[in-house]
Amino acid sequence: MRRCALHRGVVSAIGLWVGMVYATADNVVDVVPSDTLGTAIVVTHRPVASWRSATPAFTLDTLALRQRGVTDVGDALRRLPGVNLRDYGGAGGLKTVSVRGLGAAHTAVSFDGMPMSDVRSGQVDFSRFTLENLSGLGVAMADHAPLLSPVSTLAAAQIVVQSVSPDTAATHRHVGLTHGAFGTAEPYFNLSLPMGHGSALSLGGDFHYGRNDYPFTVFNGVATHREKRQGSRMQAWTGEANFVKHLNGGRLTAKAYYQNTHRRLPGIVTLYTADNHERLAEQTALAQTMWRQQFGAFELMGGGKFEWASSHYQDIDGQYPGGRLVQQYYRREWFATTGVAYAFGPFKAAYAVDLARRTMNSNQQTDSHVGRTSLLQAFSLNFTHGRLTATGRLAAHLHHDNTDVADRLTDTRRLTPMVSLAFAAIDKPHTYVSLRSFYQELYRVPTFTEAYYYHLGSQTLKPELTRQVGIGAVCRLDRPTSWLASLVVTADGWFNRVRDRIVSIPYNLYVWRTMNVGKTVARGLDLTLEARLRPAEQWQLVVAANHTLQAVEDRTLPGTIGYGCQAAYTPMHSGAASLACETPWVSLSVHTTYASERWSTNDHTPTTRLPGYAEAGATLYHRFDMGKIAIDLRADLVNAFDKQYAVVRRYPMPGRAYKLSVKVNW
Amino acid sequence: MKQLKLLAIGLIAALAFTACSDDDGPFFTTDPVGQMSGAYVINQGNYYGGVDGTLDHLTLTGDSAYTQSVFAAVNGQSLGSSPQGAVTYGSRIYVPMYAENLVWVIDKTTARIVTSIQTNEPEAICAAEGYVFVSNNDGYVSRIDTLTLAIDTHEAVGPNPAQMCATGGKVYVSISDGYNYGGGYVDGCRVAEIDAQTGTKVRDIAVGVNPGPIAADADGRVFVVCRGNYADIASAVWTIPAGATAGSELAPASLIAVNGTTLYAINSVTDWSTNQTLVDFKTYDTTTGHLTADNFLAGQPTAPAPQAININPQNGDIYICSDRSSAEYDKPGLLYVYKADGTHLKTYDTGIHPVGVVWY
Repeated sequence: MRRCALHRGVVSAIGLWVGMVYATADNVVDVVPSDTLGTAIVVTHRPVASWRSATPAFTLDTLALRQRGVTDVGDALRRLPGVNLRDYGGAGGLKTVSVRGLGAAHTAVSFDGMPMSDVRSGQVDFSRFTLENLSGLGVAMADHAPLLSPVSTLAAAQIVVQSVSPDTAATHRHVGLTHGAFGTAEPYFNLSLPMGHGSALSLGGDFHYGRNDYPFTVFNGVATHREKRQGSRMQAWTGEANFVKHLNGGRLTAKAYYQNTHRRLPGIVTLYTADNHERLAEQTALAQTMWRQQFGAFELMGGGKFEWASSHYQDIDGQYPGGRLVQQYYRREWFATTGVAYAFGPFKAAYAVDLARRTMNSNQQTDSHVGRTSLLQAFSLNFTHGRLTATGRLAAHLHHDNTDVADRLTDTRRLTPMVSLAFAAIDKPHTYVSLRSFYQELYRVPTFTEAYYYHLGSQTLKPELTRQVGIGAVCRLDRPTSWLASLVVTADGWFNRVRDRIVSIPYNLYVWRTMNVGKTVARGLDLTLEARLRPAEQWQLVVAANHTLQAVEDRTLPGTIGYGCQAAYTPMHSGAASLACETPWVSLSVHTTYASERWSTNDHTPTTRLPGYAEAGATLYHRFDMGKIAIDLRADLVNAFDKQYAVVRRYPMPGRAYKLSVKVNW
Repeated sequence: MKQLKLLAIGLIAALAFTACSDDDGPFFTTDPVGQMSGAYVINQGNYYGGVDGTLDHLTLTGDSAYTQSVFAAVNGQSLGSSPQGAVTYGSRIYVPMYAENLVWVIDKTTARIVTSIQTNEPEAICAAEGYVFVSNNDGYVSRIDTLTLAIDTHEAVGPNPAQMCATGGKVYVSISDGYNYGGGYVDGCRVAEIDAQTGTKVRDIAVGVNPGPIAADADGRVFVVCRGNYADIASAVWTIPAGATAGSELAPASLIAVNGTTLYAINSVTDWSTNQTLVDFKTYDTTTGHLTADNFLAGQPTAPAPQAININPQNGDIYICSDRSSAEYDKPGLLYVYKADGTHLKTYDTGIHPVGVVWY
């Protein structure tokens, strides 16, 4: 507690630096409005510094995103250790993540503290989020959540997305415009209004348009040539309202959100033709609320959510009946969570229960009406004594599917345990060294696509099982020298074993099959470093780097090609580094992200290989304070050396590009 | 100690990352491989993995040398995405490239590109009467004049034409209506007959659900695999007597080839819950429809996940393209070669997902 108070004090005093501190593990949350660099207001509910947690958690808040020169959500995800981004290229291109060698479906996503899921595909497209209206984005590994949390947020990893929260103390407004190469433009706004009695309301929105017709090279020996990406125009608009009310020892939040996107899908690059006519229109609407309240030794939690989403996909081509393939999907999710925690002596116990009903209908043959009811419960026990923190959790999962076809997945019931242990070897005011470890079991049920999609799904699938163990160390030094303000180094090793991995296999041009055939063994090491240097008065250097070393091996069929090889699209080495130099006049950030070679399948041949890459960029930014108005100007040079690379084979990433933005705050 | 080692490796890698290269995709040499004589194996690659198809070469004389990716080696560029098969005609080989919207025309003795012909989603190919016929998945058959190497007719045949064969001056195209699975393939269930001289459709012949692989015997009978609906209607070979207006079911099969009056039928059934594939090899007398061998390759090494069967027209040798298992569609495959009597000769390692063999 003394440590937490100290941390809070430091953060409040040096608001400018808040962003560089790894934010709380507790997404309940530290909120630093992006427009309050000079007068940071930190609304802290339960600050638990992540380096004190038993499992790793890393968050980039508004200032960290700026200092690292992060240009979009995909770029932000690449700056997080252990996160492997699958990016299909350009603004609006599908962006999904896997963490520590596990598939996207093993990664939970929480949006302002509530779970966000896509029961159809099992993966969340992160291109939906706009950085300008987020206050933070992070990754929490291995069941890292507040003891009392919605059970659905417990997963192998959790990507935490946090919107700008309303400020109950003062009115804030900002409007901004970002313009970039390849015909991209993005106006956005946010209005935060205090409403008295500790409550506030904010309204925000953004519109994004991009032609995304960036040039790229089609490498093909003597037939190598340049092309422009065709058919990748997109537009999206988002509107949201957030409400917060601080209660006596509690907090009530509510959110309403709507997004509408229209995208043309450029498809895979082929060597001799650029013919593609795919289009995708999607809508998402959600309303959610969360309440937390402290009553002496008790803490209560309650929340609910409703989400509706539609997806209309079209491929205009004479090979389809009527000249086009039309796939329409509608998803609905009703979600409720509640729980109670009780602290007694060095112990804290918590019980939480989630009830979710997710349904989907479509114009397809076999997944036209499917639904899943899930009851999840978790009992958690935490023990904290001196420098030792131990946590245990037992989660009970129950899933029941109903469909309008004869076959459905068998009901699934399972208990999954988690234990974690952290020990602070050194816990002094300016020095903190800790060791942490965890073990957990996880499983995921097949998505609706894997189970029911016509000519692909299989109702005989079993859940995919994962066991995960991790051990790590954290070292934080505060002001070890006059010029070094702080230094945080983390090193976390991990080991995963997955069995009954769910894999889809094309049977022929029209038909796929989905099976439980895969086994994967993964081990890796995540390293992070963050240092703040003060070479002179009003000058600051911020160095941040993360590196992930991971060996993710297919262990499906001994003796087969690919057995023991690095899994598809998983680099052995990946990471990012940035150096920000902040001065009273202008600030500069230079940064790089990199990944070693990868393969598009588990078969490692020249035809499946993707070369390694390192791309670099630079960002200039400055805030002009003019009385009540502050103007943020920013200029980005993206992929400065015009590196041609692809994260997904035959989906080229943009080359050199610029991005200019202006934001007015008052 | 292991952790420390990993830590050291990671730190070194973080500080001195040099694993980048400046290219993306294969880099080819342009050394010609010289004159060739033998067979070409068409490997489809893996479209979803961004892996191009390849053309391998097998020398039939001397030491039976097998050379992978001969197209790329000779031409200095990739074959492209999703080759579907090939046909040899005259001095050239024609390769339809589904995802590239073209047909490669290749000199059969050097593997050098002669030209490419634009078409739309070419699915299958055959040759007759001085022309090469290409079925396009958008419902048409294009005819290529082999003298001008240009398309001279473009005939509507039905939705999702699949495979083709030619006999007696006619071209037969299986019409699958494969993308209309929701409608039960109702606009397929037929074989379109095209007059090779005029390039125009003559008639439809009724067959089973979802017809695909097709072949003709020495007497003009046509055999077509009707693949069913992958659920309650199983895959079976149908026979169409010469001049008939409808076919009839003969036997279970998923792949076929014909040599003279012998029908080779492979029936491959995978249990997708266990990943076990059961394959049987039978032969039939095409004139009577009678089973002549219940287990033709008994005692011989057999293909675990057959993708195509082709017969060498010169000596009747049997070539079976196969994946290594049903789950290994995206890995290099195998080519099993047997003598006409079923004796195993040799197995070759091929490119990814082999789908056919042609000879010259």
